[in-house]
Amino acid sequence: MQFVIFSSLSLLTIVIVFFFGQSLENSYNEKALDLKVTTVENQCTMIANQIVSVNFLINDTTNSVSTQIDQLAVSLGGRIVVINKNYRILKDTYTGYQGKYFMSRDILRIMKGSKDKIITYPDGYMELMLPIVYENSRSEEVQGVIIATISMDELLATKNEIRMQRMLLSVAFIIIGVTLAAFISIFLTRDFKKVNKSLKYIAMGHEDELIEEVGYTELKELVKMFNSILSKMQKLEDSRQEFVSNVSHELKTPMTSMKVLADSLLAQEGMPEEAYREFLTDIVAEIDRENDIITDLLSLVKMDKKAAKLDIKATSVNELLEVILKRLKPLAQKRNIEIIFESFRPVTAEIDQVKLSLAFNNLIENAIKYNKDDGWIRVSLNADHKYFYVKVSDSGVGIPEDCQDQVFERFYRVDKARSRKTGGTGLGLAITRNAVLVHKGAIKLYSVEGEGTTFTVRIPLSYHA
Amino acid sequence: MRKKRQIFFFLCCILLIICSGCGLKKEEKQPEDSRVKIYYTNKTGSRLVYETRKSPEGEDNQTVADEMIGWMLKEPKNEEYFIAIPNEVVINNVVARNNIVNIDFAVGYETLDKSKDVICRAAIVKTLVQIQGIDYVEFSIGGKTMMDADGTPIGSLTDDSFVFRELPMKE
Repeated sequence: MQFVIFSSLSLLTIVIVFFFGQSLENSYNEKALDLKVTTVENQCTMIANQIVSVNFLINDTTNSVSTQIDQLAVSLGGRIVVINKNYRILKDTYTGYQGKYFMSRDILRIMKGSKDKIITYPDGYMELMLPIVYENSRSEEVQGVIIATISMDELLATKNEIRMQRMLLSVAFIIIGVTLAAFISIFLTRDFKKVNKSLKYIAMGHEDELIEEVGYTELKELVKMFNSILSKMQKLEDSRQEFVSNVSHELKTPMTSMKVLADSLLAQEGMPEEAYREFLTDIVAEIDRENDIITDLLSLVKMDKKAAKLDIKATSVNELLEVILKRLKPLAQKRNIEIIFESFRPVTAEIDQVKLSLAFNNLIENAIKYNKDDGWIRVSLNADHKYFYVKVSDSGVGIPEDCQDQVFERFYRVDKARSRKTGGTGLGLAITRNAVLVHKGAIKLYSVEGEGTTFTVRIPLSYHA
Repeated sequence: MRKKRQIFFFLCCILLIICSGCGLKKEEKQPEDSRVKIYYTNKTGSRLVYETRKSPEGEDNQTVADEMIGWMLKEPKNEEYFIAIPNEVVINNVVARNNIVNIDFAVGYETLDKSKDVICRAAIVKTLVQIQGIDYVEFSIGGKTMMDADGTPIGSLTDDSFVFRELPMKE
């Protein structure tokens, strides 16, 4: 980019200097020429009037017209020829052609009555042909012609001088311009280079570092965005590490219990059969638990995969919920918890049945687990033209406000002790949220500690990839 | 035999060269005025042009002058050329005396357009001064010497009395 800035600025300088200089020069030359022509014309007109005033008797010694013409020729740096209406040369300041006859196409044209001057430019000279007429005469008759042949040497010399100067100036300006272009390009890309350096450093492996915020607005914005991405990445990395350590811990715990139970069983000799049965039941329970954790982890991992294959089918959500409730009823009945299902309308949606079943199952199971005895659960289903809504409310222990953001995190438990007793892996809500998100839906929670919790899930009716 | 042939060939070459040399010399000896220019004018009457013809046969200047004037009055071959002497001009007589030819125009010549006048006279002068022994041409109208605008006689004119090309700035 530095090169692009440099070269484009340089090019711009060169183009501007060139065209500007050229047009200035041209304009000057034009003006200079016009001035010269006007000067000569005016002088010649004056002489012409003089000639008329002496009735063309130029060579008469009683008047000074001849001398005046000579002087004019000298001052203009050229030659003046005066012709009368018979095409005879009355005066020639240069070659002494007096008395000879002169004829040319231009002279003929003027004599025939064209009152305009004619200017031609033969070979480094300017030739001005002016008709001589009676000043106040009404007649159109041309009385003669005055021809001034003026050398353009002076003008040419000036032209060349100007051009030389222009060349020098152009070169100077171009050098300045190019130098400036170099500085600007370096200056502008300086900050980019800094950022680049930081990036390289981070990419090498120092992922916990952030980029220094330098540069002007646009660059700063870019860097800020980048830093936020880096932070997110870092958070992700942290949570991954946390997850891994959580997983290891959770997987290990049942193992430890199992070992303890088995060891103590082996340590004692001659124990009654009931004791063995008791210990083994506990061991089996731990194995089941470990199994659950692993199953949940696997389903979570499956859902995590970005290319999660969804088996989308038009499903009756009513039926889906009814099936879940039927299955979980015995669990609720154990603690005399009442489940009410409200369906405002029949809802059919394009969903992955397995995944959402799991999601709703977890929500309702939680509602049972964290409920009071003799409590209630209300499950409602509604829909509008775009989405369907499932609400699961309970009269349970609720979730404290400061924990509400974290409940969806894997392995997160508000009250570890209680969860152990009721069982569970700590992955339920994580799985639920994942399932909801993969359907491009949303899940929200509202809870008051001690009173109850409500989870609201919104899923689009039709699935768009 | 070979050598003889070579020598013979060589001699032939030399002979040829001598002969061609003679030929060249012969050309140089020919007179310059074997052709003459008869002057005409262009369409706008702003300059003179000419066509060449074989020299007139006449013995004396008078005859030759008459002949050449006659030729001037004939239509030129080139379509772009026109007779320099206007139709309305009547030449009373052509008199060659010593080295001057006098052309007398009929009265009325003075009414002729000035540009046509100049062209006409220029053509006549340039045509006639080619005659050996003729240096000047004089003009008269109805017997009276031709005058300029300021009342002075025009006098004898010769070839370089007419500077029709561009006025030169360098000598």
